[in-house]
Amino acid sequence: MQKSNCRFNFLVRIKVIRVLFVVLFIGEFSGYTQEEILDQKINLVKENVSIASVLGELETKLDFTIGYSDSAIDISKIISINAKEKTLAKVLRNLFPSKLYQFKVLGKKLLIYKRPKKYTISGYISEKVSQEYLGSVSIYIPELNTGTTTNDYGFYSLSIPEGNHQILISFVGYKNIKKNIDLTSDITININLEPETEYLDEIIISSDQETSKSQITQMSSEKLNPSFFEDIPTILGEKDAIKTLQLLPGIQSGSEGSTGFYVRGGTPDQNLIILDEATVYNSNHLFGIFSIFNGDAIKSVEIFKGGFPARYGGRLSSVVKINTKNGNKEKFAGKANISLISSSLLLEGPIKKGKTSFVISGRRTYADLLLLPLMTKEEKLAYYFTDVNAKLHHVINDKNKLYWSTYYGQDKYRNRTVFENERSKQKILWGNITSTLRWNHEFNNKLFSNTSLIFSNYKFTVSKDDRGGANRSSTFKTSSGINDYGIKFDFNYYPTPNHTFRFGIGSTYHDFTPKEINIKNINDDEIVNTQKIKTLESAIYIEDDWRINDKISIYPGLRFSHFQHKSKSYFKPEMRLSAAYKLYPLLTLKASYARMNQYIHRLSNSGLGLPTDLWVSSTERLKPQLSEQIALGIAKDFKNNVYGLTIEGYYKKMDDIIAFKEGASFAGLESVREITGSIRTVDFVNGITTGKGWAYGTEFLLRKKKGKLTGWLGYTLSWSQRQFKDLNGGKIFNERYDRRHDFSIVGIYKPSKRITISGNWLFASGINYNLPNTLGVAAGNNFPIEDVNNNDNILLFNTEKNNFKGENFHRLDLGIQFHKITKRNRERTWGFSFYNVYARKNPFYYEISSENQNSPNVLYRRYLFQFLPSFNYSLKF
Amino acid sequence: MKPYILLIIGFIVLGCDDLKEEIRNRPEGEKLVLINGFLSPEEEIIKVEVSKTISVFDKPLQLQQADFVNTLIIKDAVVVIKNENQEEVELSYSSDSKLYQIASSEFLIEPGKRYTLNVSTEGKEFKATCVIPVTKTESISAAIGFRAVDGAVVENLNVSFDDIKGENNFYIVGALFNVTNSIEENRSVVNFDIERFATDVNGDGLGISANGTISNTSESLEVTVKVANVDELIYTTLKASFLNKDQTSNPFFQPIIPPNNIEGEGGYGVFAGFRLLEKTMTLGPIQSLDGF
Repeated sequence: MQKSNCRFNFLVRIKVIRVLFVVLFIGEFSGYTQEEILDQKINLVKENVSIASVLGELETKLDFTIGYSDSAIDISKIISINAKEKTLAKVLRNLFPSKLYQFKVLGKKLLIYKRPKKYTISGYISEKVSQEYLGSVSIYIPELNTGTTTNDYGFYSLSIPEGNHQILISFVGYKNIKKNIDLTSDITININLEPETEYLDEIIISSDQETSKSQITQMSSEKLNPSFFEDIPTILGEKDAIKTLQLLPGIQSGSEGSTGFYVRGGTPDQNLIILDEATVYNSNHLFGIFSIFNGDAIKSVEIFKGGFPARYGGRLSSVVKINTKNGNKEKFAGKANISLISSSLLLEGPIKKGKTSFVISGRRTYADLLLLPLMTKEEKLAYYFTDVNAKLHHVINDKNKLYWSTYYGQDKYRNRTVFENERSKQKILWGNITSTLRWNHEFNNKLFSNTSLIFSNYKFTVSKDDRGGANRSSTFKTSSGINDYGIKFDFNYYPTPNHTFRFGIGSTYHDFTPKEINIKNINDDEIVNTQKIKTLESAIYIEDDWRINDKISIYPGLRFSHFQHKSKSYFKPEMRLSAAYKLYPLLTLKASYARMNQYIHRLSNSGLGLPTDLWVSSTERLKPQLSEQIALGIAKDFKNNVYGLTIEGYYKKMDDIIAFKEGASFAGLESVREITGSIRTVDFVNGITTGKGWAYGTEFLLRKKKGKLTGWLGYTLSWSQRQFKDLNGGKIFNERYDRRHDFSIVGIYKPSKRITISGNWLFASGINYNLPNTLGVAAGNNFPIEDVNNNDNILLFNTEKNNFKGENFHRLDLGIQFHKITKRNRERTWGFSFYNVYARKNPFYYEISSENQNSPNVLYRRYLFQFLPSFNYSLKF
Repeated sequence: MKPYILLIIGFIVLGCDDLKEEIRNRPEGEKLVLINGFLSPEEEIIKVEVSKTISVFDKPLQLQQADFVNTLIIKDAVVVIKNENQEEVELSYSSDSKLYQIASSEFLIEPGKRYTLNVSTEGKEFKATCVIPVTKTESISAAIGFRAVDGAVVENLNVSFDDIKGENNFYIVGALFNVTNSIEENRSVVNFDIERFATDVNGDGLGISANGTISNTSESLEVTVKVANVDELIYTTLKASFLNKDQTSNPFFQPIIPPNNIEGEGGYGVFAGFRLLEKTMTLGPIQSLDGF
């Protein structure tokens, strides 16, 4: 066997050498011929003769045929020439001084041809009415089969040969534009796209070439516009971008109703969530039932599950990029929305028409206000969340633009009790603040830059204030959080239509407070304990979207990331590569590789994204997490891009991932005391273990993108496993959210301008639970400290991690919206949504308990939301 | 409109408690031999517990705790401990303590030394080894006062001690007390709740404190404080005993899987070492607050 292998290798080697020899030989030979003719010295002296006559004389002298195109060369031009012992190349250059003219020898023929001159078209694409810049718009030249897309700021640049061209500008949801240009110099073309009538009477057929999956190199990514998540029915009628993402293959939800999401076997903290360039650390309201992203303020949501471009880094599993609206630059507009549990209002408009715009949107839940009459004088309990998005956009001039955007969101839980002289006030607060100042600068028509100053904050606070008689009082306050201060420079460079370079550098200063405790006891003892970790995370990257030819394109990228904590620094190169090969014009084979490092981690016991989870940093002892992912897939578009199909397989390996050791974190939320206890006792130094993870699977997505009925059908078959030295006895175990099958079907039907009907059905295999199923004698009997068993000699435990596979989850949600344009041209929408229509009792968690002391233990499925109807009303003005 | 909204919100917020349904397909627990032996140079008796386990769904659960222990305890095992010099001693079963035990005067447990446990029972052989920690906590201080707990003020015993430098440490804190010169035989236990489990999370060598609920602080108290620095295996297995059973209805709690260093098929448990510092002191009385 070994011998035959050797022989095979030898034969292959011989073949390779032969091919190299032929290539080199032919190259040398043809080079020699060309050089010889063009280097041949000649004498030619002529005055006031046409170029045609000079070329004729050269043909005679050299015994060569000279070929040229009449349209490229003006052969009637009169010239004079005085060449003595000059090479043919020099003579020809004298006749055709412009470097656009090229000379090539083919056997006994000399070709003279003119290389066309290239000019650059650049500009911005925006929406017609609002002047909102549009990203990912396709600019396509059918005749040249080339094109580009706008970046996130609506900018594009395309260098093409001079001459007459037809440009096709297209973007899903907007009317296509065809524009004829006579390109004779660099030009700026700013284009306004008009939204298509929202309720389509017929299928629009377009040549939306670049945005179709078979035409781009990038794989494992999806982009959603607000219209998607505005139409899909959700729990309690709250439109939610993250919940819509959870319906896509490869993106799985956690527990029922939770906005925590698990991408290709990763954990929620491995998702990089970027809101207008700022990292968002906690994307949940109400323990994960709603996401913090107010649908009204969002312009676009894009997710990358693999094949990550080099401009993104710092997380292992996904990148979710959320861009907010810039605000209407032409007229004041707004939207008010009332739903069962919250109300929201968005206002936008010009501050200076065409130059400066603003947008502000706010949302607040009012369950606390509605429940107020039920509260007693002795006890008042309130919970609400609120969020505000605000943005200012200012066009300084054609080349410079400024954006300032900010987000503030807060969940508040308050509980006040009054009993005679004793008063107690408890508060739990958690929320994010982000703020970004961005400056777009166009250096020239091929080089675009964006500079961002970024601030991001997440804080979780629990406080308790007890006051009694005789001025007795005690206060307790504990918090954890993180502050980020970042600067980032990103550049887009468009040298030719076949290359789009992106490069940049950025740095973020992380100021972690894993734990801060301030206790003031009755006897005025004050305990203050603050832990701080300060780190610097930086990265430099370059990537190129390179179309090698009509069939092959690659997207290589390189990112160097650096992380500094005290004297310990980590420097990690990260290689990224995507490649696409067109098997047929609309069928593309794709592959990608991505290596990612993660320097900051969220420690979570429950995996539910609770506010008690702590963000901690890589330190000297805690290495950064690392992942490598390869993916292979096909993308097919058919029926004039009405349908898109992607099938992808992936394999992801994760190293140095972290988890709590058994019992290192106790996540109790039943009382403030439990929550504070969780924070006080959590041990993120000794309580952490590191390990490995594997995730692999296949994803299938069939989308219908246009027409009265749109939607998708998604299926994921996947596996996700972990191995930690200190967990499960060091043995490999299935990850909690390791779901074998995940299927979703989503449909939005718009039969007329007045009605939108939507529905989704999803099915997911059960997740894994830790279910203590064994009883033994507690070990504390044997220990010299009394009551260590908590007055109970029974030990309830399980020996295998995630030892119970929960039941399958499935659910049907339906929604219907009635739209009406009022006489004042305002759009009024009544929406009704029905969550879990057939009232499936899906598992939330499992509990072992008995009816009474004398009955045997029973396993119960606890479920949360059965049939939940809700409504919302919105008015656009 | 308002009552309707209130009804729905009320349903969502308050209605969750009874949303449960029985499941037939349940994961039966394992039949294991559970072995726990914790050795310390400070202990007068060397003790090892050998018992069986049952499935949580098994029928005879409606037993009183003492019966439960009696049902599961294995009384006819052969339990042998061996030191580094291959000297061994067999522990005999005590029906009083329900443990296999021997006086430490007959078999010396020394800091830093390795010991091996061999258990033969039910036709199977089990083995485990451990090393006794070298260092122990050097000083403990304690003070009594008050603290607020869930809107009430309670009498508090604060125990503090310094972390042992240079290593990751795991501690278990406890205390007994009675009124000085009391004639009562039984001493009361200070309730440290979850704070009885402490680590050097605040930093290597820094101070550690735990608060426990005490009573009778208006009188002089004789308090015996105990701080054990234990092997991480002991810490985790005791924490599992402490937390798991109370948290079965907490959806956010992940039950602790107790560690295992018992070799042999069907064996489970911990054989590990710890060091113990006990200090008895007289504290109080302190002036009571209004309302007490």
